[in-house]
Formats: sequence, C-alpha cells, structure tokens
Amino acid sequence: MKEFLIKRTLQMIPVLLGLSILIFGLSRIMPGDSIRLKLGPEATAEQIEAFEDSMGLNDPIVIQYVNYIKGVFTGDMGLSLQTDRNVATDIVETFPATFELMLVAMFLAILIGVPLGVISGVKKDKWQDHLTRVVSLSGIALPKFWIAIILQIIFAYWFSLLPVVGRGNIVPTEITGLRLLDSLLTLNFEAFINNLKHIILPSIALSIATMAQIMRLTRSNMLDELHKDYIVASTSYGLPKFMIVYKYMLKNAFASTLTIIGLSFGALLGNAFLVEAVFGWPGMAQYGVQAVIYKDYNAIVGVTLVIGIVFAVTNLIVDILYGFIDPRIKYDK
Amino acid sequence: MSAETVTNEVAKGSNSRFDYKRAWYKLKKSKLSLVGLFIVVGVIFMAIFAPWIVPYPADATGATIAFDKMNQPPSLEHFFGTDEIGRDIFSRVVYGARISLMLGILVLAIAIGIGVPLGLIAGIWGGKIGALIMRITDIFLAIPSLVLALAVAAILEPTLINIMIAISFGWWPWFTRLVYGEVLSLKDEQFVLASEGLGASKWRIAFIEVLPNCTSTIIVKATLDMGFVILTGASLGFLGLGAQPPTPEWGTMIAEGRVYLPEMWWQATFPGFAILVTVLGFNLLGDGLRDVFDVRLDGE
Repeated sequence: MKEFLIKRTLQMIPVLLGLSILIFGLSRIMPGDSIRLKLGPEATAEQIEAFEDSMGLNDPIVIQYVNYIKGVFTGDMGLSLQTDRNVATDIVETFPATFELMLVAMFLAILIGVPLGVISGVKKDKWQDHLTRVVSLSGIALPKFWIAIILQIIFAYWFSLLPVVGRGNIVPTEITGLRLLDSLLTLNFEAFINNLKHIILPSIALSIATMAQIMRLTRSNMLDELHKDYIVASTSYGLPKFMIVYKYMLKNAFASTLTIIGLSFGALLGNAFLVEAVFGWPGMAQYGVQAVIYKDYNAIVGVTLVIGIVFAVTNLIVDILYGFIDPRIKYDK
Repeated sequence: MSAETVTNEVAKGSNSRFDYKRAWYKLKKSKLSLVGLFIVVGVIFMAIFAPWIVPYPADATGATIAFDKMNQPPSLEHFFGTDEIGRDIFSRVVYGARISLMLGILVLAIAIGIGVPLGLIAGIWGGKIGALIMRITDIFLAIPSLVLALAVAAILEPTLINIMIAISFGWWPWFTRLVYGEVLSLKDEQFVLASEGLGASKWRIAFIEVLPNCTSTIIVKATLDMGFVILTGASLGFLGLGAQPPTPEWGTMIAEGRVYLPEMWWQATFPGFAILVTVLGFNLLGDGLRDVFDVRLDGE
C-alpha cells in the first residue's frame, strides 16, 4: 500500500510538470496588450517596458519558467493583473468557495444519482427505468449555464424562494473557509441557513450532469450484478429483496461507480466555470473566467495548475478508496 | 491469388461484409436511438435549409432593427418571441444550427486528424516514440477539456474559428487514447501478424490493416462527442469567448438574452432548448450506434 502510494504520487509529477510547461508556454505567447490594458491608454512605451521588466517578461522564456516554478514552491505565483495581488493569495481566498460548491454538488449527485440508478437497474425495462434513463440522458445534454439561468428564473425571480446571486451575506467565523461547515462548527445557525439558501441553486445546476452520469453507471453495474450466483442464492434463501439490493448488490456495484465519481470531479471543476459565472459565486472558477477575459496570464497559469493538482489528487484518493470498498483489488506494482 | 490479396481478405474480416440490414434492424429495435436519429436528421435539415425555413432570414444573421416589434413574447407570428431590437428569435435559433454543426464537424475533423494518426503511431511503433506520445496525451488530459479550451481561448481573439482551434487543442488526445487502446488489442490478431510476416511496412500495417478495423469505434466516439463539442462551443460562446453578436450562436444568444431576465425570459430560454435537443439527439444516436457496432469506449 505504501509503495503504491509513493509510486502513484511520483507518477503525478511528470504530468503536472508537463502541464505547467504547456500552460506557461501558452500564456507567454499571449499578445502583449494585457500590460497595455492594465496600464491604461496614457502609458508611454517606456512605462510599459519598465513594467514588463519588473514582471520579468523580457527575460528568456526558459528563465521565466524556472523562476516561476521556484516561486510556486515558495507560495509566489506572480502578480495578478486584475487584483494587483499575488495569484497564490487570490487562489487561497477563492478556492474554498469553489470547493464547497463542488462538495455539495457531488453530495447531491450521489444522494440522488445512486438510488435512481438502483431503481432503474432493478426495474429494468419498466416505466421507472425508461423515465430515469430519459431524465439522465437529458441531464448530460443540458447546457449547465442554461439550466443555471432557468433555475434562477423559476426559483429566484418567479417564486422568490431563493437568492439570485452571491454566496451568502452572513459570514461565519472562518475555520476551514467552507462556510456551511464553519457555521456548524461555531453553532452559528443563522449563517448556516443563509449560506445554505445561497448554495442550493448553484449546487443543483452543477450537480445535474454528474448525477446523470452516476445514475447511468450505477444502473449498468446493477444489471451486471443482477444475475450473479450470490444474488440467485440469496433470493432462493428468501432474503428480503430490499436487503439483497441495498446490502449486497449495491456494495459490489458501487466500486465501479467510485471511478466515475473521481472522473466527475474534473467535469465539476470545468462546469464550475459556467455555474459560478451565472450565479456570481465568488470562487476560483469565476476568478479564472475573469482572468481569461482580462488576459491576466499569471492568474490563468495559476488556476489551471491548481485544477490539474486537484484533479490528480482526486484520482489518487479514488484509487485508494477503491481498495477499501472492494478488497479483491490488490495494489500490485 | 497473390499474397497481398490474402492478407486483405483476412484483414477485412467482418468489417468488409458489414451487414447494413442487420445494423438497421438493431438500430430500429431501440426507440431511443430512432429518436436520436430523427433529431440529428432534423437538425441537419434545419442547418442546410435555414434560409428557406425561417420567416425572417434578415433577422437571423444581422442586426436588423425593428422597434415596432421589439421584446414581444412568443406568439403565432414569432414562435419564440422577439429580442430587444425586434429580431425574430425563432429565425435566429434555426440559423444557430448551422454554426453549431459546423463547429462540431470541424473540431472533430481536426481532433480525429491529429489524434488518430498519433494513436496508430504510438500503438504500432511502440517503444520510446509510443511512450512519448502517450505521456504528452496524459498532459493534455490532466485538466478538463473546457478549462484547457478556456486557457487557449485567452490567447486568441474571440472569434468562431479561434474557438474551434481552442476546443480541438484539448480534444485530440481522447482519440489518441482510444485508437491506442484499439491498436493494442488488434496488434496480435492474425491478419496483422500475417502482413508483418509478409514484410509489410509499419505504415502499411498502421493505416491499411489496422485503421479500417478502428473505424466503427471512431465513428461511435465521434457521434457521442459531437454533442459534447457543441456543448463546449456554446459554453465558450456564453462566456463571451466565441462567436460575437450578431452571429446567431446559441451560447452567445443566451448570454445576450440573460441581461433581460426575468421579464423577457424567452430570449435566453429558447436557444438553450435548441442546445439541449441537439446534444441529446447526438447522444441518443451515439448510444444506439454503440450497440449496433458493439463497441466499448474508454472509461466504461
């Protein structure tokens, strides 16, 4: 197990290094108008030159890259052109909002996706199955930014049940940066309710595609299990169907569902860019969108790298969990 | 019979005698696949014949201004209502099919054009070249395609062509990985070994023997991806990085209409339905084709 962990962690390094070279290289071929944009129309050529020098933009690209990577290890990801702060500071500040949104969305996706998948699998070719399949296929095809807008129209504008934008106006004492957790830890229920109301619509919009994927996979895994000997045996012993389905079948079917949960984290991260933009959610993804629009190249590199790291770590965690859920899987070299 | 024709006979195997009647029968059996086929044909029809279908072709592509009929809710005259300068939204949505289909086809053409040869080379040559190609593929797949496309879009001017380039940039590795997997499973098949024994070059094995046996997998993957590429293109358009107004691109239209919420809900709603239905159509058809060709894609 330990060996496996070390090996997997080491495997992550070349990929992340490659990613950093790719994105860094891309950001440096970016046309120089971002500096001009930043300094305003009155800036003289000398001022622009001086600013570029101070940012190290006139050094050879290899030197720039080495300096950048050195910086990353000391928590310096360069200056953000939009906020005039260190990109690392911006990311540390915005990441918890995105992470919280993703966690809630993932929770919803599993909570609803798995049972629907089970029902669809057990009731194969009955109306429940057809309905859930059509719903899940549509869920995958839904444009996330669009469903976000539709949710806003219905629940925020028409029925005024939930807030239209933002992350909540009662801020609990910060411990983890995840506000729902923080407000529970500090027993600040007012803040909890307030933040919960704000997170409902964005997390639903974000979770739908993942929910649909989880549902589809759970269904096909359940179908694979349905005719195995142990199910036939437990049925003939007269065990209640509910117990067979949820205690035995689901446990075995869930192992492969776990893989899709790992992969979905990537999709959630990508879709967060759209959902955060619609709901004005002050997270890292929205920071990334702004960075792209303002050609804030250090921020683009920073956000992309963090996403690469999160994605890699999630997949590592999934691999480890896999072994716990399904002991048949051995971590061979 | 010459040696070459023998290998060709073996190579073609089941593929050359592909039973279209049986395929159609299998596709027909699944109602959902037929719905998908129907939608896809419908969207293609709309795209080709847009100028003859829509009631107000001038509204669709330009910035025609008609103050006397601005902001009208859906009616018999304007099925999807009109926008803030009086353009017919139905006409614009129908024209949008042209943009989305073009985007999907071009992105996939680039992705297949780059990804498939690389996958073949990595699989057939193997060794250091193969390892190198596959490691590079891993790097491109280390972040979600949408995020990579965003990063590339940042360096380019926001136009439709550039958005296609940005999406293709992150899309080819999926085809490399897919084809690489196929090649590995085909590499030890008799027909490959036979042509190797007869002294065929690696190029010949890759492109003439192995490639035809990957086509069904590529077709299924491309059909399923068509929906997702369209979705990604609309997402970038929505963020303002793709086609610019007055181009009737669905994502861009939603972004424009969003400003007029909640009163003029129809502006942002109908282009979204168009995306949903189109993507759903390609997914249903792709699912159906997968059963017909009996392929399993990566990650299933």
